[in-house]
Amino acid sequence: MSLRIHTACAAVLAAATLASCGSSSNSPSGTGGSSDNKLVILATTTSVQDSGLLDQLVPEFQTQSGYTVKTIAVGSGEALAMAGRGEADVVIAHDPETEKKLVSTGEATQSVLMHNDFVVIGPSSDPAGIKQATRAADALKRIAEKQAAFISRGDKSGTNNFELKQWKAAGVTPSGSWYQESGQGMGQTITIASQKQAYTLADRATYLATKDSSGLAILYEGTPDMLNVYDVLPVTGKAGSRVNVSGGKAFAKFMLSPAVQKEIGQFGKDKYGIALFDPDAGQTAQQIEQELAKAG
Amino acid sequence: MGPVTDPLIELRDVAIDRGGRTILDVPHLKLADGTVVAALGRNGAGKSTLLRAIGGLAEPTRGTIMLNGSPSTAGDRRRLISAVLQRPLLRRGTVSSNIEAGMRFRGIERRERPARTETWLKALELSHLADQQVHRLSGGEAQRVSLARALALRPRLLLLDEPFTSLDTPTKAELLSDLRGVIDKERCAVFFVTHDRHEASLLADRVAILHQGRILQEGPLAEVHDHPSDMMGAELLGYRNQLPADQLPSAIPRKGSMLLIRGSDLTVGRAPTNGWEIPAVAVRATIDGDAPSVVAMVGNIPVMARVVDAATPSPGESVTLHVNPTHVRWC
Amino acid sequence: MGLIWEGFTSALRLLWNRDPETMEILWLSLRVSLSATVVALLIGLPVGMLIAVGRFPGRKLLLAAVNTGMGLPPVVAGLFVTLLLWRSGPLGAAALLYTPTAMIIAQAFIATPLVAGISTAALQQVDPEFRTQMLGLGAGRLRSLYEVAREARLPLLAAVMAGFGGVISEVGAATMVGGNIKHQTRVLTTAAVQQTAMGNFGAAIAYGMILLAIAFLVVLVLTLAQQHQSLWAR
Repeated sequence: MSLRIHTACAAVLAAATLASCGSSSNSPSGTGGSSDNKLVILATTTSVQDSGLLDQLVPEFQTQSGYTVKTIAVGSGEALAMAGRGEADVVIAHDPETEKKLVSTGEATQSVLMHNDFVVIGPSSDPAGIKQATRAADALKRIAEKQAAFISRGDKSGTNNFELKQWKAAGVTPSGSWYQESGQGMGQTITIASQKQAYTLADRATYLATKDSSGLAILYEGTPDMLNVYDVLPVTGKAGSRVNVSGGKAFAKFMLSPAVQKEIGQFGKDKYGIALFDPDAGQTAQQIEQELAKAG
Repeated sequence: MGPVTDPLIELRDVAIDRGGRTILDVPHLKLADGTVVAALGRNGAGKSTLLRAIGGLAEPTRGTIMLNGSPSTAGDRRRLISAVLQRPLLRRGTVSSNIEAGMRFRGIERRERPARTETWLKALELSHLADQQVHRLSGGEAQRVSLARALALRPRLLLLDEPFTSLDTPTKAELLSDLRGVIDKERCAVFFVTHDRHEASLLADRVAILHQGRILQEGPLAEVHDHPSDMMGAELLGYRNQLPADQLPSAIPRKGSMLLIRGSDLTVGRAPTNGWEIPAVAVRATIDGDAPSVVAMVGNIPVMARVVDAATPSPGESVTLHVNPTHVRWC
Repeated sequence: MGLIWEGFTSALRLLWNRDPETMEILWLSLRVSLSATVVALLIGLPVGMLIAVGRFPGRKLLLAAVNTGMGLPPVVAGLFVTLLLWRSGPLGAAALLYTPTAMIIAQAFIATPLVAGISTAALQQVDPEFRTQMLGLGAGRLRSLYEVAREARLPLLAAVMAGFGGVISEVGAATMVGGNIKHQTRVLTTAAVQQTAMGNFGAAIAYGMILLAIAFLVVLVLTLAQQHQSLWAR
């Protein structure tokens, strides 16, 4: 090879190496729990991430507070597990039982953030006739009796745990070829249900986002037992020595602040005609349920 | 260490072991500046190993190799050599670039390189191939390039490892005479390895006979040629007919324990004047090179004789073999 | 089928208009995978040379390790690097998880055995005597190794391209150590998976098409280099 090609290769190598060095200087490396650490790791459930809400709010938070946020979208189960290991600084989840465990050990504190609801979706022909059901558990029972195809998340996410709770309430242990576990996120699960013309349980936000491509209809909705409450949980130092306690707290405070709560209440109106979430700062889950029962 | 009388290279108790065996064992060998030494031997005799040890291309397991009177490292010796190995291993590229490569390795100045390249291309009749890609060359052409490449470095010691093996006879003959001319002009020391005694006689000043890693005999060409010290050496030098003295007719005066005769010197048919006669029994007809010959038994020793001016004897026929006494050697 | 066409036209449109989000994702993909390939080359080529030319005890073991590494699933590489880099891990203090640097590290783990393994095969194709001949013309020890590599430069180029191809298209490690964070660690593969998860198949296919285009360019370079062998020779 000529000298020219040698130099060209060297230049490419140098450029690539410099470029990679440049990238690491963009993301600040913190020293863990120290008070001037500017990095916050937010572990969130996929339904909140996929709705796009965080894409709007996180940049605002970053500008206001000077923190840099890394949003990791995983299921509630994994998000809370990350928190338990001290690998996340704040969590947004919708899995009350698992959250309770984390709070009881003092590894996190919990505040209600917002709510929307779950819906049971499926083919518009509604083979199991769940439109007539009066409770969520009843709807699922009808599906089980009819042995109509049902796709479960099967991934210990908040949605999955809610679904399992309803099966329990219905007194049914779902098993058989009609009950299939995707082990994946909501979007993929809806796709599978769409392809197989099956039922599934979804949060309203993800359903709305995928409505056009899935072609599935909402067949059961609206009762108070379909309430889907999201909590924000800042992680404490007890979970790990490198937790950015002040950063997590700051993010939670931001999300619960009146201005942001108002933003949450408006989010999605322009795209879907209705807001995807109802802000709930300062309330408890029971209070919300009671309000809904009164209204519905 | 007397600087004037020190040989260029001197081996002292050099041995190389591989895989548990000693494949080279040379207690003593000297190479002087400007002399051409041929290492003659069968395949596997250790000639290439010896060449590489001398040139610093293989490390001796034991012993020292002196350079100009002082112990040297392989790197020291590599600095004054250039090597031509058995196969012409050329770098991807043109013929000229290959000749230049060695000069680049050696740090020869850029200004000098084109002139030298041209000189050596011409010397080995490669000028018309200067810009040819090496993968298009014939075997002979490639070997020439390999030689030109080594010679262009004007080394103090040129190492040639059977460089003519892959060539056809006419090319070989041409190359040998070209090379002799070049060596005479350049006055470099040459150590070359061959199994062909004709190459050795054409190029060498001194010959070393190698067998199973050992040097059986080493000395000036004429001396080794005419007085092989043992059977193996004799055979390598072409004395393929070896008759123990007790198998010979009493008329032949004994001068050693073994009579050595070249295949071409033992004849059946026309008798040379004052020739010796040896009775034998023909076994079968054969061809030696391009000369009709016959394999015969002298007692229980097989020999090969040329058939000259007579019909080829039939198997089982009693014949008389003739040899000129001046052409024989004793061992 | 209409989706594939839609994806194709989307890809063209995004690239033509230099859609900022797409450009960001594309640039990050290239940066991460090229850097990982450079690292893989810097480690893998010497290892390949060592195995091909060297003689030392354990050489066969090293070759076996390299060949096994070639089959390393990217997800496993991602998992391993996550365990190293997360806060409770040995390198947790560096806070590298969820950064492009972490992705480069994980992809380097994937690409290095590929480069090393194919380099070994490439270098073993060169006549073993070739190095000796170079030494016999005055090349220093390192120079002689360079000459061996130069003889094998086309298959070595293939080794580098194999390394690059293996990492530009992987998603397991990139997801696990990168987190697919918008503006930070989102690359073509993780973005495509995300779009699929959200049911936006057209967008997913668009990203896929862009990846295909990159792969095609890489293959094109290698093919041209092989065809023009004589141009490269001096």
